[in-house]
Amino acid sequence: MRLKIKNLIINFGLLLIIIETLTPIYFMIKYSISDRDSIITGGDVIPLWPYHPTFMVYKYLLSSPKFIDVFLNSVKVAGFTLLFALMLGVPMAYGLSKIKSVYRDFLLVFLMSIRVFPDIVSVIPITEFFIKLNLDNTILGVSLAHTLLALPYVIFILLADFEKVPPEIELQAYNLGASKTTTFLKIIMPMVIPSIIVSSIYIFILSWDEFIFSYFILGYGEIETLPVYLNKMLSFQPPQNILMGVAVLLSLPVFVFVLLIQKRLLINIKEGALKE
Amino acid sequence: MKEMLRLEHVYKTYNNTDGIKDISFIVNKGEFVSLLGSSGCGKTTTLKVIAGLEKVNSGKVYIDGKDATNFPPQKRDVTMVFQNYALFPHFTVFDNIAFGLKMRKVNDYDIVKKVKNIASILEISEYLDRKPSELSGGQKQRVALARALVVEPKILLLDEPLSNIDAVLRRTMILELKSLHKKLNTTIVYVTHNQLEAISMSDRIIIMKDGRIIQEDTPEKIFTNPKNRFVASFIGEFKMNFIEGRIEERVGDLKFVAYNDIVLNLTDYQKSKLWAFKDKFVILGIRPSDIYIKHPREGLLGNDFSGVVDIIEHFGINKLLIVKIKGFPITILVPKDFNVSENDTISFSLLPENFYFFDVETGENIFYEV
Repeated sequence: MRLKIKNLIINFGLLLIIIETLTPIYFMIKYSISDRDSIITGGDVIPLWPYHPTFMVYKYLLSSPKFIDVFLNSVKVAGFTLLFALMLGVPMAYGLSKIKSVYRDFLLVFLMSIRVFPDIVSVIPITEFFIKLNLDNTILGVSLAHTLLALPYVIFILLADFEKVPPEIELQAYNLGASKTTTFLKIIMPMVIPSIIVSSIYIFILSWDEFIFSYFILGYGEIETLPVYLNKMLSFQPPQNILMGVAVLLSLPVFVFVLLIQKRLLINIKEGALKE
Repeated sequence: MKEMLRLEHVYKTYNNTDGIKDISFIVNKGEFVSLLGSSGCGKTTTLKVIAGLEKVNSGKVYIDGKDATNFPPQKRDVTMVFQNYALFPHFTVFDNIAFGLKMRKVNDYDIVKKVKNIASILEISEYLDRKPSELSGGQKQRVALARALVVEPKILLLDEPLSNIDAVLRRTMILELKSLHKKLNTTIVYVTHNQLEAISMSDRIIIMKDGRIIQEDTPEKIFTNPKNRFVASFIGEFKMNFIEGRIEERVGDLKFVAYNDIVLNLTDYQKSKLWAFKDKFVILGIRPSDIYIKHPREGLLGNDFSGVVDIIEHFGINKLLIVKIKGFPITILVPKDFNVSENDTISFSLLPENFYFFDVETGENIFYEV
């Protein structure tokens, strides 16, 4: 009996979570395929599903050179951020996992400090610094800013995994004749692949929908990323269906990325390395 | 015999406490040498120093005649099997074994040939395609051994390889390691805390305590000629009995007297040395297996006692009796078919030729022969 009630509560909770997740998605999709009559009803109740569903908005957006340009900018920024954050974060986490003194905790707090302040506070000095380096209004600049934001997370996720790799594994590789580089690339790195995948998802999502830093660094220049573009559109008060179309296209890559990669997360690669 | 490994006054300490101090020994080519000691005595540190995984504070390490003290681990041609096997989890058994060969830039054809050969010697040929997670403990251990042996190292270092397998499998593995050593004639340095493993496999045993070498000898000699009380109590399946007493002169004859009551005769040889200890305290040691059980009608043999059996412990083919003589407990090893039950009185004789004598203060064996 008690178990039944417990199950009921859990199921109810799950239902709430599902509703909470799906409602915005429903609205986004519904509006993006709505025809004009389903939005401007002249006082009638807005229907739960459009009278005449249409993909007009997508056709319009995907044939708009401006939108394609902005979309590709976002892809480039996310790609570069992924590259930089992993190239820097993986070795950093590995290095930190080898430090066995109190300085390590100090370093970790220091690394985290970018996330201690609200973005709106840290964005100002960083933007100023980037302007001095002529990195403002460039894709490289935005990518580097996103890397800065992503690094603490990458390091924390990977650090925990590197520490789980038994030191003997590494010593064994040296013992069998492997150099430090070979050991890292062939033995240690493959053992933390699940964490690298988790970090990648995180970095991608972070960069893809990051707004504040992108907005400040790109300023009023020519280059825009999707969130910056969406913000600019809002000020023109465009029709809801176009706005929601952009929103769907903004969310889509994240869905696809997570779907593609989530299966690999289930592989527990470290199983059975050592005797029980 | 050709010398393969030589350590000269090697020091390696961590925070000035743990670690190893003044370690010197030689291992000849094809020899099987065990480092024996309880955990934390520096055995594993010694192995890591030999493998180059730990840098020495001072001292020299010579491998195959060359000063290898500052060689990186990759250049030493010494392979090690870790206590936890340290198999690479994302590699198949084949790739695990082949790793060392690949690092040595051996061509693919030879790699396959060598891996298959060592796998058949260790009887793991059928598992070559599996991942380490699909192997049992014993199989993992063979893979780790194969991986270390396949590169034909100058020295093979084994760190407690049998510590995590059950007693029956351990017996088989001891035999297998021994025959493997005979077959391949590899120079082996073996670390263990289990004196049985050390005694049954090694050509020589090095006993370590608190980072120092206590004694270095063949298994037989270490058993019959222990350097001090620590070695005497450490070696032997059943712990030696120790009795503290005084050397006293009684009616012109030298005797060992404990508790004013237990008076033991000594051999002439023992007396000759123990005169120097007259009226001083010494510790007498006698192994449980060296105590002679008398038949009820057997005559006096000297040092005869009778006592009440307090506790009986069974150890397969043997049983261990704890007998009280004049309130003092002494352990005696008897065959399993020896008919006795608790609270019986038995007669036995402590034969003086089986006595060991240790200095009370230093614990040194008074009769130690260098």
